[in-house]
Amino acid sequence: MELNKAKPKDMNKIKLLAIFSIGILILGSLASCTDDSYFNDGGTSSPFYEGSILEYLKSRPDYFNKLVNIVEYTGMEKTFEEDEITFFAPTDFSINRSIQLLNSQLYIQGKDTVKLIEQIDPQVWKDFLTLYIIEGKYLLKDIPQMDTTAMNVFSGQGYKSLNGRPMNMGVVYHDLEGVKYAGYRELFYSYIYDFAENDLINAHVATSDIQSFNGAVHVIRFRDHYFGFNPYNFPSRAISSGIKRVDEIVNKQN
Amino acid sequence: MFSMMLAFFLIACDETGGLAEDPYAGGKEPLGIKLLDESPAPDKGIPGTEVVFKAKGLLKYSNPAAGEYKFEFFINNEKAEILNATDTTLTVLIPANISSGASFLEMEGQIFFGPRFTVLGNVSIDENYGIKEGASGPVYDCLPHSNGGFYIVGGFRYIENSIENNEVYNSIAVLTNQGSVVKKSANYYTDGALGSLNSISRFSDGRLLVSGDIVRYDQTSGIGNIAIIKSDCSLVTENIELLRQNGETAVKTFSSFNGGAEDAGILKSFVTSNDDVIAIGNMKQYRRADYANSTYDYIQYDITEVNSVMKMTIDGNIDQTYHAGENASGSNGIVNDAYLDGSDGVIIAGDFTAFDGMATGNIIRLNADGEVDQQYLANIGTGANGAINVIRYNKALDKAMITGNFTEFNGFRCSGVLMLNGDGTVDDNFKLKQLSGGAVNFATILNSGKIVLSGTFEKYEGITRSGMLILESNGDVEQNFNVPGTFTGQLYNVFETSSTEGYYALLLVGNFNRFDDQTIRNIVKIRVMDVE
Repeated sequence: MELNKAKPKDMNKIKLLAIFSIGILILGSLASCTDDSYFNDGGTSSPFYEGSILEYLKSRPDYFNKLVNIVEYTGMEKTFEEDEITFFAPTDFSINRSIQLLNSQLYIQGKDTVKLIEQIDPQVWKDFLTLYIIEGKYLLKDIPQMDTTAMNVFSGQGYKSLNGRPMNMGVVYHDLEGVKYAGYRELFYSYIYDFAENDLINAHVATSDIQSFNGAVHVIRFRDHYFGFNPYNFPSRAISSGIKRVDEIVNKQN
Repeated sequence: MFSMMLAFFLIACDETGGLAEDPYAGGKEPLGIKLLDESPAPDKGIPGTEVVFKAKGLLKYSNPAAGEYKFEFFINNEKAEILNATDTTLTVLIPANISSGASFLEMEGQIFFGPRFTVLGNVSIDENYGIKEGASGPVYDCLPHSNGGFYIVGGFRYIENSIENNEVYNSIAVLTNQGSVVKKSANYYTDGALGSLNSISRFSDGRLLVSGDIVRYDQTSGIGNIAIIKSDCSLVTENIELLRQNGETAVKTFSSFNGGAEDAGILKSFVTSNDDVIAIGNMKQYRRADYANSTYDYIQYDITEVNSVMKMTIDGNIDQTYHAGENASGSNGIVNDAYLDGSDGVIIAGDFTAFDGMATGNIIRLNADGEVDQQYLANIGTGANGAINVIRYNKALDKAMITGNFTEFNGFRCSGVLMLNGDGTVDDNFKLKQLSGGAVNFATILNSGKIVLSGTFEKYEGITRSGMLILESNGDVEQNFNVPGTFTGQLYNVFETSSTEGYYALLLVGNFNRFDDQTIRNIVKIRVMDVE
């Protein structure tokens, strides 16, 4: 054992360390149960953000720089600052993935590709962005269970998005060591074609329950999400609504 | 040491009753109602049909005697009148204007999804047609085949489940009228194209002209985006004797159509009434191989400047008199689409403000000799105030539909869709009604005068008709012809044909992945009954 190999000089240190550790243990065991307010304590794990949803998004430009630009371009600041909403936030990675798909289609057609969000009609951005917004504040605990393998029993709950299109929220209860539904819970936000036929597109929430002054933010996993859910919806809508040239935007701004 | 620590913490908690707060507790109370997934009775019907959906817990929020309900019921986003509710059923009336789609119940901002309801009318998928899943890539064009079916060209590799059998159709295939794909045989003897094919047309001798973005066809390289193939789809070739470096000669196979576009793909190609070839695109250079000055390893190409349009003979040689001269500068922007009319004139549309130096609004007609048609230019006036993306022509009616990002055509207000006469004047009998949720990306006119549209729109005249419409010639919508559910994507062509049972039908091809809510890619045949 390592302890036996230790030199006599170090033994005192080890004893000290042991006593110190036991002290911490006692303190810790006391604290671990008496402190039931850790949920509100702040620090890195606090779900609360001291500001509006828009301010929260602005505080994370690494994820939401483009998203914030789109909110401002579509003139939806008030919704994100004042209205009580639940926002399933698509990250810039999802938005960029959809723009890349759009650009590959434009390239095939021999047309200039999109570099600025302003090249796309603001109504297009707005119609897709409002798919991600539900009126009212819904946290994970407010949302019913969903089981993608037993949707007729655990279907989650449908809500009308700000876009007008019905969307579905559901919490998947994962299994733990063979015990059904005992594991961690994961929030899904789904685009519905035909619910009865299980014909839908799920967006996985990576970070849920970020609570700002005017509602909740659930951040959508960016690994596999396209802005607009169906990968082709956004590009075809953007193309059919007309892509402006970069010089048109730049001239306007000057 | 650490495990000891952990044990301490755990013990400490066990003694005082676990975590102080369940992070999942305290949510909002559910309403306790539900629509069941079971099919309604009946599961299909015409407007005015009474339909019973299975539900749970609705009685609490209903007063059927007074006709009061605290919830609303929708089919394909259209509100359906509620006739009765029990604790296990909900009876609704199918509204007068509606397309097929999923149902849902709305209460206090919450949605309860139900099963799909099929609205019956004159349009339905030809379910006996062999193609049910579609093609793996877009289908851009079709041409009737002598077998009663069609040649299809596009950017696909597999059709139906051919990927499982490793049957590859490189951008060209032959379909029978029943929808089976002709396998490699005497009737389909090709390896297809490397690249995508946009256009197919026929010469008087039965051979075919194909073009697009291709550099190779049937393993033969050096294709300049255009080629002539036999009716069995194999490339028409010629063997040329060329010098090798060692001084000996060797024979190499080439496309016998020696001509093409050097610097860009070809958008559309046409066969004229005297079997000449006209190609349209954004190319600036025509090329032709000069075999006399080539070796086996190096092919010398002669380049001729062309702008947006070029005419060639059936052997690929450029017609130097067509669209020639100093003024033949072509479009000053982007050419998007074109058609050939009955007198060998070409109408070219796109995103340009001048053609051959003459100011025009995104559309121009060239006479059979390649000169700008001045009468047409006068007739279109200011033309479109935005890009024209798609133009489709009906020869029998001598009318064309244009689609694009314009809001006005020669002073005529229109939201991106317009009917033009063959001479460039506006047919203002057609008026697109109010469209919302997106735009139109394709429109064509059928021999009956009906107009088929696709797009990203959700509603037409306030009624949900997602992605596709069959309109009357004046732009009105008839309920019977607009019963299918959601269409997602873009049509490129619509061909009038017959269904597998011999009724009138339409073959829809394009770049789409849903028709009537079903997943089907890029090709579908639909029955259309009672077309006058």
